[in-house]
Amino acid sequence: MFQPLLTKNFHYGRPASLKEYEAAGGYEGLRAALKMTPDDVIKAVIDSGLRGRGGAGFPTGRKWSLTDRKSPGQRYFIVNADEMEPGTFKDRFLMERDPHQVIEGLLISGYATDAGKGYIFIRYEYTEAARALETAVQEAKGAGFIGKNILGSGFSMEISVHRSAGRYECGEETALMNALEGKRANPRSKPPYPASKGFRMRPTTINNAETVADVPHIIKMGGSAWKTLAAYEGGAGTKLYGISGRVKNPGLFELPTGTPLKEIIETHGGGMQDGYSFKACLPGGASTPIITPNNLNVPMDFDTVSKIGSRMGTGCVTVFDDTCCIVRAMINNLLFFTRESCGWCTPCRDGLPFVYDILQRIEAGVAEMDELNVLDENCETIYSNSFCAFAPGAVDPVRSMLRLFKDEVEEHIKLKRCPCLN
Amino acid sequence: MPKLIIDGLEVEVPEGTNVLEAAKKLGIVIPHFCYHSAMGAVGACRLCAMKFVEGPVKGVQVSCMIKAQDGMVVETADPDAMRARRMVIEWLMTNHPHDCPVCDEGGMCLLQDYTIAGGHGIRRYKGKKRTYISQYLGEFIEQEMNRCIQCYRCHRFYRDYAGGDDFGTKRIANRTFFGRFKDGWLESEFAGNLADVCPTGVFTDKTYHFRARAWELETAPSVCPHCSLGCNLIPGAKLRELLVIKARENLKVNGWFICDRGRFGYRFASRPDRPRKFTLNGQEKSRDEATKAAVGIISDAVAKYGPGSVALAGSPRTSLENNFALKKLASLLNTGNICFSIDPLRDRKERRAISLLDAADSRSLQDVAFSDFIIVVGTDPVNEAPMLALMMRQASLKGARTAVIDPRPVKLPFDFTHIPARPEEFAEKLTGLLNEAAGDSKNPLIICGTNIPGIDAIDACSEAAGRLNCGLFYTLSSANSFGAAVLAGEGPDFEDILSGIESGGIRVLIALESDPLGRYSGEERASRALKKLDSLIVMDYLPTETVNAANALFPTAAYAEMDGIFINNEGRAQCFSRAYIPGIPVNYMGPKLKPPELHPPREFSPEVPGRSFPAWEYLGDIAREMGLDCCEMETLSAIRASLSHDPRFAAIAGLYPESEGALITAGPVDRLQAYGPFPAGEKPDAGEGLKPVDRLLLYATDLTFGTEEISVYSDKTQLRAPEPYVMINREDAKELGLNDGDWVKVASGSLGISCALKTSASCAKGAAFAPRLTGFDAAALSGKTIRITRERV
Repeated sequence: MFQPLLTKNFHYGRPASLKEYEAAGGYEGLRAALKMTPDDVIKAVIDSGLRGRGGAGFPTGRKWSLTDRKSPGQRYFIVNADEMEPGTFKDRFLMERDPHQVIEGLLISGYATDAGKGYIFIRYEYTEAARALETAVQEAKGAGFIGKNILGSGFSMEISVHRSAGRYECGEETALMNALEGKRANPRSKPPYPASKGFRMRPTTINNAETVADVPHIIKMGGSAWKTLAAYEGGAGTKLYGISGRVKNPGLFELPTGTPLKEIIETHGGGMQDGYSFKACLPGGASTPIITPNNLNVPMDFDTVSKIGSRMGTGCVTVFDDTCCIVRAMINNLLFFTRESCGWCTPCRDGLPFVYDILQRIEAGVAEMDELNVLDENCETIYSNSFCAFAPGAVDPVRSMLRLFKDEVEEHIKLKRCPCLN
Repeated sequence: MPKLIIDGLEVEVPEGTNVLEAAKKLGIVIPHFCYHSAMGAVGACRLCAMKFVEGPVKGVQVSCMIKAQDGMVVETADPDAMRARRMVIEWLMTNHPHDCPVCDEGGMCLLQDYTIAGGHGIRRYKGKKRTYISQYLGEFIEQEMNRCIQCYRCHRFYRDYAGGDDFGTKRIANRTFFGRFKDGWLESEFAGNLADVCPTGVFTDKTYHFRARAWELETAPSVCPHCSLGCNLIPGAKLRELLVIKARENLKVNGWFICDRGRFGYRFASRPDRPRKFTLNGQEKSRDEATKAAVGIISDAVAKYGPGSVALAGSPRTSLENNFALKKLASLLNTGNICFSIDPLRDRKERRAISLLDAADSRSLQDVAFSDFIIVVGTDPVNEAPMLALMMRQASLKGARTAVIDPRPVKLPFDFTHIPARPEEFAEKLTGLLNEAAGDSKNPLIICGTNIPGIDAIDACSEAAGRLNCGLFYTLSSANSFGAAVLAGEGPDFEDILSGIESGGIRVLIALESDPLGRYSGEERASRALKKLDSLIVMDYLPTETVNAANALFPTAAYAEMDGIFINNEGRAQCFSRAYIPGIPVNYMGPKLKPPELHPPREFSPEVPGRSFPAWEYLGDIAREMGLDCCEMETLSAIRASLSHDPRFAAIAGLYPESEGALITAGPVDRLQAYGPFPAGEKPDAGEGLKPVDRLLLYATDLTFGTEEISVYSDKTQLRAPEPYVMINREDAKELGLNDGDWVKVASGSLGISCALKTSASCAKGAAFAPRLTGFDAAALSGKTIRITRERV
């Protein structure tokens, strides 16, 4: 029987207190880690096969080992809790229900990367989660988990919860650092990479909140043991999957990594609501390409979903039912991205509004057939020529729409109206 | 030095050069907006895409972000790269208004050029254009945000390069706005550069608004006349009216930028009251008549009183050739009464300073940016030599530490240590600072002023520079102060000439672009003395007080209207060329008539109405008319040839416009007088029984706007001149029972001025400062002990 790790304290329906967290084995991972060397902690994480849960899936252990731990001076560890991907709500639950788990993970991560200062950069709208974290930080400080010479190990770390001023782009790691420094949240050019010159031009490691929350369990169980929790050979550990849309039971589930998409939707999500059938889904947020019914058996993991031309992203699935016009869905997507572009590079700032405009013209039934070529050319050039991953993510679903739903799009143009509206 | 192949051509570039620059070196210019040589690459506009075929990087990439490396093979005309460039231009043009016909940038617009170059022609975007409400940014810069293509150059220049903090990027996505928090004047002294860095018509020169199209302008490479740094400019004129100044690149001097005084101070040249006529005692004469009259005046004086009765006053703001012609005339007349500045204090200090500079320790303005430890002694860079502050900021951005020893509350656009000290303490503080901090720096630099510091401080800076192998950089008063001081050599200064006039020995004064009545620090004395003259011959292009008092007046050409040489504070001789023929602007003939007396003659004539000439021509005329051997002042090339016989000026022989200039070493030129910060006889009395605050020492200071001799005649820069004030230390003010903003009387003996009081915590105690504003006689009180009392109004 699958034992939940990340979600085991979720049943309180409120932030688990320090007492409750410790009663369920909390901070044991930290105690164990502090007895290991930082290199051993990194090795355990490498063994676990943990990959970044923010969406890009970069191997966490490798990221940590790239951090410049030799140069003298301050180092930072930042938890990216700026969860602003549309349709995604996994970090929110994590922080609202079990904030200590994130803090413990941050402490272990900080220990492994020799960071004396940790920041939790939290989305502007997540006031409840921020309050929960702030309370938890105070509790942990009182209990001696945060501060100087933690548990007599000689390791010291301070933690601050930073509430973002709000913007999607703040989720991009270098833009996040700029925002944290009080600058505009524009991405920085790489190199230099944060591992050598990040926050305040010091070596900085940055991980998603869920990634960090996985770390205590990896240390407690051992990296290899944690890895075997996955649903298939190539996966590692457990993963928070969310589901939204017209399903019977929308919500957040902790499942073995690599659980097939079909199972997530039909078993855990309870299948489609009565009278609706499944049309397509975005597997991991608004910037992941569309998945159609014939690919529903795909195991939800980074490599497997990539293989079918999409991306797992955050693992929070957005389901479109048969009444949903795919063009309208993309318009809704693009409205968000067009508005949230940081305005730094041209393809994103001025290219996305172009795409948005053409989509609107298609939906309104005023577009000509040759505008599809313009749309395609726009998407392809934006995809390959922008500064950061924002704009490629924004046009990726549109590109997949042009691939998978070409007929429906062309029908709009031929009928001069949206075929989904009767 | 990496070697790479671009479009089949091999090119070798210095380490760290980006591929875009490497291509430029081959003459392949790929469109780019956000990249600027001064501000570097940020990869924001994504326009400079090229295809990387071989080497460490592959595929279509923006070339500004990629450093040239060995083995790279790059194609600029690859179809994918060209498509990327065309799409970027198409995106930029989705919101850009098609208002080129009424846009000042039209004709010199990078967006126009690159839209053509990028291959975008037919508009495919059918949506609405995004619009903004533009801001009022003062009278220098006009903003039209609808034209913005968000290249971020303005933000990067204003905030990052120039250190301004009242302008920046607001909002996000395609609503990104570049402006101030609210409407109002841009505060930076370098804001005018926004007009140059903006690739399109968002920020344009407001003073030039709707006056001309770029292709109508007559331009020439020129050099700024508004301070001693000699920044390079391109003046633009249309129909005999100087209309616009743009920065010109010189990587030894100003780099790419200029200050707002240099950019907007040009409007003196087209003032309606500018002297345009040859006059004799107020009567208009022809050029010949004026020359004959001047010759008569001079010959009479020489015949009656001997050659020593003629005195000549040159100027640090006129060209080297003009001053040289004046010196030549003096030697032909056999009179030794010639000086090249009407500020004897400054003159002596500048002669001293330049004689201390040699090739080993002299530093160019660009070198300042590469210093790692800068000590500023008694100069206020932003106010006395604005571009110096910008270069010091570049050094600071590279990690240089800066300390300023100055009694004023100096402001600089970066962090520095201010050591408030009075001028007599400069040498001591400098030694202390050097002992403390200079040890580990590789490129230390001492910057010294010549206004507030005394000779002792000027000497101390040179001595310290020599001892510690430091760079040395003096700021001087005017564009050609260096050249004027070299020509002055060990000759007299204006003090001597004034005494000569007062004693009756000097009966005729020829003032060449100098204004003793308006600019001499003891105006009353000068006006009393000049009244004793038999005749005053004035050659000038500014409507000065001296011009108004002239017996014979020769209207001269200003810097943009003639060829010439200025020698900057470093000793760098730089050529400037004539941009246009001076005369009454045709604009004055239009329907909006200016005062009727300015209307040019209505009959047609091959003559330019109100034509003026460089002063050296008039001086040559006078010499010829007198039957003197004037062959060395006949033509500009003759003057230059004659100049270059002097070994110190030998370097000017190879000088040409748009060169980086040639370095002059002055050698010993000062009179080596023991000379303190005060003119003889005016040392402050000890003030027995008086409290220190009752005998504050006043210094007349310079400001970026409102005090420099030429730009005070420009209506636009005068808008930024402050109201008169006197500034003292806050504690001194407290002791005097005065508060910031009080209306006070500043008095010394019979002299007195009224103004507002400013107080500052970082101002040295015991000192007071008043700017040399027009109509505010701060200069007369300079160097005197003063009493400040509240004035009841």
